[in-house]
Amino acid sequence: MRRINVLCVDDDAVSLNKMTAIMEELGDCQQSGTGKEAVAAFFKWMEAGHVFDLVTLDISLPDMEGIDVLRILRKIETDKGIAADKRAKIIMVTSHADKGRVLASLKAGCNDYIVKPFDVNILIEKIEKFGF
Amino acid sequence: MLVKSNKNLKWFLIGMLIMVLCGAGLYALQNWVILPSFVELEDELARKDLQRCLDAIRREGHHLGKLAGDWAIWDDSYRFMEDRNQEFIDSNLQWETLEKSTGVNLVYFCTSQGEIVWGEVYDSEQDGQVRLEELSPAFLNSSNYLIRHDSINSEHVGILLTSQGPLMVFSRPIVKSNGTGPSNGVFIMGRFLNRKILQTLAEQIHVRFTVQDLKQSAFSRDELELLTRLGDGAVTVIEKKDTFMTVFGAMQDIYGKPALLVTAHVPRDIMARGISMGRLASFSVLITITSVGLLLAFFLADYVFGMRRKTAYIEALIEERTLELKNAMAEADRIRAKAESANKAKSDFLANMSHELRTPLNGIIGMAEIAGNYSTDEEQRKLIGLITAEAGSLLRIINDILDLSKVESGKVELEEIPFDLRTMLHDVDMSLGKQARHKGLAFDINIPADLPTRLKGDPGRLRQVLINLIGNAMKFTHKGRISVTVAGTADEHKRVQLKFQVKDTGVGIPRDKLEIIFNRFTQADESTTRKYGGTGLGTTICREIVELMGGRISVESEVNKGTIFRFTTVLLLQDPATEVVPAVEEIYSGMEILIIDENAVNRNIIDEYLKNKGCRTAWAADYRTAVSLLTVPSAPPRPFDLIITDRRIGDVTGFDLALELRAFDDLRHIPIAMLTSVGNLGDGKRCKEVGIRCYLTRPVGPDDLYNAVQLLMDCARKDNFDSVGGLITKHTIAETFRKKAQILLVEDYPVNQQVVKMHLNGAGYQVDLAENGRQAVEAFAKDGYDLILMDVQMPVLDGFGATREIRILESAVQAQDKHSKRTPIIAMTAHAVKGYHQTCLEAGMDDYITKPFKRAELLAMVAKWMGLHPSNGKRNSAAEAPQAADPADLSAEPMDLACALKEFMGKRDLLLKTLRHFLEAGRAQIETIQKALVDGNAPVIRQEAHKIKGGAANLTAHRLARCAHELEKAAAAGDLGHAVAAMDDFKLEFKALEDHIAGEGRS
Repeated sequence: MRRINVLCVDDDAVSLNKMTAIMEELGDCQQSGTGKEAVAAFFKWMEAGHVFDLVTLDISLPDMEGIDVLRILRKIETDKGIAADKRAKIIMVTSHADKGRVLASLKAGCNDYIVKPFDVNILIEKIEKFGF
Repeated sequence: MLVKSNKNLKWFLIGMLIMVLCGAGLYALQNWVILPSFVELEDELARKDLQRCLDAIRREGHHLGKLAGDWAIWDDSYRFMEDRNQEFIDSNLQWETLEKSTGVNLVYFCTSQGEIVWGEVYDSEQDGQVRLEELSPAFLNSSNYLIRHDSINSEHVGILLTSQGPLMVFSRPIVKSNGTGPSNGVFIMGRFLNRKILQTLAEQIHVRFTVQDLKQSAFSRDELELLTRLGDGAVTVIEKKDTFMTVFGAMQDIYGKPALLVTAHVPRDIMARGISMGRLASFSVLITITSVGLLLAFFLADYVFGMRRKTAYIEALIEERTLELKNAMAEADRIRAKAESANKAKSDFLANMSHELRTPLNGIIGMAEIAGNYSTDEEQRKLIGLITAEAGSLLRIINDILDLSKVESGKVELEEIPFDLRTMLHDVDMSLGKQARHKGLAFDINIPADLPTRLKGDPGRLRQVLINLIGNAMKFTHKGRISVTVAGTADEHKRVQLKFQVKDTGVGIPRDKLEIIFNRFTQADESTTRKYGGTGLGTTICREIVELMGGRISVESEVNKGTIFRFTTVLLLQDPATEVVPAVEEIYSGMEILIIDENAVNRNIIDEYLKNKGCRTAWAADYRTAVSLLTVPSAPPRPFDLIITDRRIGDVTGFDLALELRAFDDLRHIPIAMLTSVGNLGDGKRCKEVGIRCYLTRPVGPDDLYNAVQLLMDCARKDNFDSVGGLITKHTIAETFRKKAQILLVEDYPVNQQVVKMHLNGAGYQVDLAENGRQAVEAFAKDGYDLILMDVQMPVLDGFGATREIRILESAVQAQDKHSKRTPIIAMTAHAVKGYHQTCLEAGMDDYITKPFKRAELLAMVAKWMGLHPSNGKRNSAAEAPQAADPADLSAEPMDLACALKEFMGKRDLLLKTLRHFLEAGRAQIETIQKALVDGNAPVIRQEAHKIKGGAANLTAHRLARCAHELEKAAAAGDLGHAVAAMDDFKLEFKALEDHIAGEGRS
């Protein structure tokens, strides 16, 4: 697996650092604590001509729901005319695994889903499945 | 003080007002009372003065008259009138002389008809002769008043206004010197009222006055008329100036017409004097009042200030004293707190140390046991046995110390459970008595037949005391007898006072040591420790316990003769009606169990397990003893209820024993359980052949044993061993309990779910999971359960609600099926506040367990309600298998750094940084939550707790996470009472975590 660019989004500092710690094993990681920051970081990165390979997105953030951030990110990608296979892989991170939420997020365009507290290995498996 | 000064000011102002009023009053007095009288006086005096003026003037007239009389009553004048001789005139009427000497200005001799014989007016001031119209011949006629006289003595005197000024005239008839008539004419004499005369008059009467022609005065016509009307001498007009007054008076002339205005100027001395008097008086009064007032004010002020000073002083004193008192109290509090904390520290230390000591010891014992079990070498096994025995002794000593410290610090609470004294004493007889007899001593326990023995109390502690005393007796007695006696009676309050006596024929205790025998760590002799061993705590503990039980302990002894220990205790009679002992308990209490095992340790283990359940045990280490115990009739009238035997008993096996017992009618039905360290093939079959109904391979944990015994006795009673396949084994037990044991665990917090499930599974129970009350009710509706563990605070539907619904379902089912049983529901709550038990019961629950709970507590509660083992878990700590570390176990660390490090991919720095931030943020969050608790702001609490929970869980700080979860749940339910309690826990855990991190940081 090549080194990937990751955007980690979580409002809890501890979770964020944890995720970052994991992601730094896989590549380069940027952190965002709010939805707005995440969108801004994502957009800026795209403007600079790069792409995020992976986004880990907490399902609830202080300023907006994760699922809304998800929609915005996808919209940005659509506006920029990014091909489906080149889009960022977005994993929603949540503490509940109810059917409703899972379906909603998938419908909104996320690629996968992981429930806290999660096993690191499972997360890594999911990421490897993306075939970077 | 401010208020007081205002009052003073008020009084001062009032005083001033009074003084002003007084002044005004004085002034009024002066002007309207005193002075008017002065005025009247003044007026009167003034009038009098004027009168004097008028009188003076009139006197002039009289004076003139006298003079005129001299002339008129004179022969010479008489003759003159007849002859009109010149000589008369020349000699008498020389004006210079005449005027000078008499001041007369006018002499007229007239006939009775008014004919002027001779008449002249002379005034030197007017330069000689003066012509007066008023006395011209034309004027003077017979009808003129001056001429007309009625008699020879008539006199007319008065003022005559002339063009030359006012004139005082006098006229009378001229007569002979002897005064006889007839009159020969009229003599008129006059004098000008000139300034000189008036001045003289004024000087004479001391009054300044002027005289003027009335007509020439300034009076108006009306005033004149008034004056005229008032007649001669009327004084009516007074003009007042400040220092003098002007008084006016009118004088008529001789014809009776107002002629002259007399104006007198009178100085107003009186008034002046009066005023000055008045002023002086007022002034002096004023001064007096002022001085008096000032004096009073001064004294008042002095008094007030004095009072104030005193008050201030007293207040200051009070404050000082109060402060002193406060300080003293604070000091006392501090000292108390220190003492308490010292005490607590001591207790904690002891508890900790004992725990620290016992844990490895238990390890040693456990390991030794295992080693012993797996060793086939006899020698080795003996050695291991010794190791275990020594470890056991050490353990007992440590237990003693801990026990003593607990009892001393008042941490021990006596049980009040029903037990049979007779049974307990028999038990003691069996165990200790055996040992004593083994030692060659005689041993007996004497219980009077009428002694009430079904009692309520703490049998464990009582036995402890007995065993201690008897043990001591045995230790110090080498020959002779040990006898234990008990006596007592019940009183009307259902209390029984028991008197125990342990008497031995041992070495005795010297007299001087008798007093200190009950002291800590003392023994009769220093050498005793060497010879006899022991900690010296035994008797001390006995005393503490006896006294705790409300009794007294004493000792009597004589060296080399023996010792008697006596103690009393007060217990209660059992209340037969209310003592509903669940059927489950009866299985054990009073059960007589024979344990056959060569290995003392094994025996002791089983013995302990069983004794904890209230069974009476006896043991045998070899075959012969076993058989004799079984066959020889002994004190208890009942034979054994159960035999637990090792597979090997000396040279023979348990199978042999079973076979032999079958020969006896009264023994063959006794259920036998066989324990073995090594399972052999075919044992099962063998068991069934010989009638051994239970076969267990070691290690046998307490639960296994209990389950086995339960099942065994159950089947034996019902005689349906077929239901368990003819032989009870571990497998059977597991299966039986798995089949029957269905527990529904209702818990929303994932970590808790895992933990509890693990505990229950480990104990062999099968567990279903429900995440909230709703799911629980649905699950219950689908399947039945033997037990439900219900978390109380959950989303969707909480524990109470779910319980109610389940009970409703149950009653519906029960209506149809009378045999359906009530499912026990145990509440799992974070805190038991007062009355919580009641709340749970009212909701339909059966019991509750408080979180966080230990595995043992949980299993004991479950067992209790599953109808398998009566719970009595407190004494079992030593026999518990070592617990696997599970993530939410209380004895685990606040945080597993190694684990966290792994989760952070080995990035130590990042982990530490994250930890630091978390703790910092946590401290701030604690503040926020505290404030929110005060404000009653539940949403904030929930939010913060939720955040912390996530972070903590991520950092493997599961204990903290769980506390945060409880706090979050309490806040979500709006239950601020629980939230406060949960917050306390949370803070403790947070502190623990901080300390832990700090400790780790150092290492």
